[in-house]
Amino acid sequence: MKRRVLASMLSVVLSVGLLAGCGGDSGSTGSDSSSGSSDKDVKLSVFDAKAYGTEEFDAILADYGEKNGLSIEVQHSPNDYDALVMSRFNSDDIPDILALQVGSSAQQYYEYAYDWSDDTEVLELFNEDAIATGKDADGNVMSLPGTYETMGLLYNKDLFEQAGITELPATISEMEAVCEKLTAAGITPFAVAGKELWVLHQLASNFMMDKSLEAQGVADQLNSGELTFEELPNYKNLFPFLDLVIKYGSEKQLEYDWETSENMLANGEAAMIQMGDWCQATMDEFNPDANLGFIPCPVSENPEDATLLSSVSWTYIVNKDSEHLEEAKELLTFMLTSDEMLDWMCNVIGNVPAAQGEFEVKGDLANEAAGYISAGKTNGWIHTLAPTGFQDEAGAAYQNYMLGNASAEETTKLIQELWNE
Amino acid sequence: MNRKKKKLLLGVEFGVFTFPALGFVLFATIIPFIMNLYYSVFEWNGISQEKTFVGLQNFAKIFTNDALFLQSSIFTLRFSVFFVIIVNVLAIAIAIPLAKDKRVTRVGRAFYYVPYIISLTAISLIWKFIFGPGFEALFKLTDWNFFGWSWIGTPNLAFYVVIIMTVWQNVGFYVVIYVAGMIAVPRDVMEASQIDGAGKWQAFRKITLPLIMPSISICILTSLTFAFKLFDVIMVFTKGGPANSTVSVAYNIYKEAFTNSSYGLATAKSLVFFVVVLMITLIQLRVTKSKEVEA
Repeated sequence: MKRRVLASMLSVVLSVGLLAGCGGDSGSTGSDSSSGSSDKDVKLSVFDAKAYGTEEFDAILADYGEKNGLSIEVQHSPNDYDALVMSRFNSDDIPDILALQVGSSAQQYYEYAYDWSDDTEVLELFNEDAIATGKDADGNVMSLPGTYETMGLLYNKDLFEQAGITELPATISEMEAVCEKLTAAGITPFAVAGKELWVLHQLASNFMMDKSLEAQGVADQLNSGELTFEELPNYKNLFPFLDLVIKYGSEKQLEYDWETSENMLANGEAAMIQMGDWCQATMDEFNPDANLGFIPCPVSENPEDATLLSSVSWTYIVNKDSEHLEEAKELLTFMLTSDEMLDWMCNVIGNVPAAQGEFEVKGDLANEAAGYISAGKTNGWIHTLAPTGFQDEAGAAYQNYMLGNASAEETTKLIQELWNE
Repeated sequence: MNRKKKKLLLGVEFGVFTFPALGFVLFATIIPFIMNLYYSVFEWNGISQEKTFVGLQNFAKIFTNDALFLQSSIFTLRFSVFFVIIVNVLAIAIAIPLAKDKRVTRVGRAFYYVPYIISLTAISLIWKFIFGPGFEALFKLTDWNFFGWSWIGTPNLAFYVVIIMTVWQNVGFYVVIYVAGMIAVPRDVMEASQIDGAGKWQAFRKITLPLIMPSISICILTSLTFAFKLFDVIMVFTKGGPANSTVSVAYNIYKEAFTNSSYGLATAKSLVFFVVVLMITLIQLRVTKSKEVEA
């Protein structure tokens, strides 16, 4: 009898202990978190999405926290980002500083964001075009820009040389000629990551660009219905281009993920892929000696139309209801404009900062991109301005076209419906 | 001790022991389910503080204006039929030799069970290698078209890839259940049948099969629910592609909630899905239970 009572009591005690563990402030659920000394009054949490350079990043923030008497907790979450952010908001565990993908994805969170419009001394630290990517519909600055990223066709310079190609293709017929030459030299021209819906969506966004309207103009007019996909000047050329990718590319492109595609380019198994300068770090892992560069994507028969799309990629909001709003604002300003962090952006992750200044960036791709940017030959990103959910459904529609299951007209019609949804 | 007091004590004891479990079930299953019901009548992106009440519009949309949900339902049904039949037939076939009590069979049981406990990430890497460089090398060696096909990049083939992977991974679990069932078949019945002149096939059909009906019943139930809830392989391996050909219902719901940011619609879909799965499993249980016999 005594034993049974004891057992019952034990069970109660244990379950109470378990339940106590459920409640309370269990903030450090991150996959990777770091903090300064814990007994300080001001606690700030940062939710970040970068996949590399995180250790250096944490060290810089820990140092900053030490100096300013803050305890900073950082969570890095490159995988399954959307779901994690959403669950943190719903469990009322809103981070003080949050990294978001620029465009329609970030706009969903603007109602929680601090409005920077009146902090002119902070806004002046950034390039004007970068600030513009963080504005809401009324022109208020709701998020601050991190770094620029550039995307387009990447090519292996060594393979082009091997095939005797001296001039980069700027029109679709030139592209076909280049493919012929590469094939003749025994080189596979394309290894596009056709399994990745986002890669196809990004590739297609080159053909949505109308340089007289710029990215925002195109997106606005598509949203308002002033413009349809059929009326976009170069969109119809996407399909002949995809035909080239299929005809001259590797046969199994629809099963390549981004890693396979990047690996094949870096190791000279294919000459061209669709990607951006964010892949520098992985490329260096696959083959540090790879000689890579950008081709502005040919989208018509006019060489002037060829596009290279560049934009702020990650943008940062401060939670307007943060308990320590001032400290959070200062921390974010530090994260985006301080010398230590700018050095981290340039030399650790190799991206061009959105803060004002002249920067020397590590990595061939970002440097080559910087050349195009300063020559004014780049345009903004359209793919991030598409409605939420558009990317994956559009990507699947392009796959369907590449499989030969749908015609160009049917695909264009479907894409239009998906955008309007 | 009088009886009343004893009864009370028993009641208290019962409560003390069940409360923790009940608490967890409430916390992890029942409360989320009720919240699900609540969200399904709102249009909500999962982030905003404002929700718009839309009544049953979400449900209307599922049935009238959601081609991908229909496509994913067809995929899931087709997958379930293939998976349930293949995995159970295969597991019974493997279990027959493994049910004999020898040292070899014990090793064999472990051998079939191993894939079931490997992490899914490792499994996807293995199969990515087999269908990628592995098949390429075999193609060069044999020149058979079979190895040259783009298995993951062609909708019809990708379907079989999913079947092959899931059957390979899960068959060990069902083998173990069937082996346990077959070991429990009384030996005297088998011996009696041998004396009466029954062949091996006859003995299997008329004695083993009816007597392992409880195992079959539970295996069909678990394989059916597994097939309906198919998610992880899709999430990690095919990503629903190519061209949405391997989007399962569970994956579609996940994408609706977290990439399309239509949380309300996603919860509505999950409710519809729940009702359908519940009905199908109830029917299945009723049918297989009615076939159970005792020796």
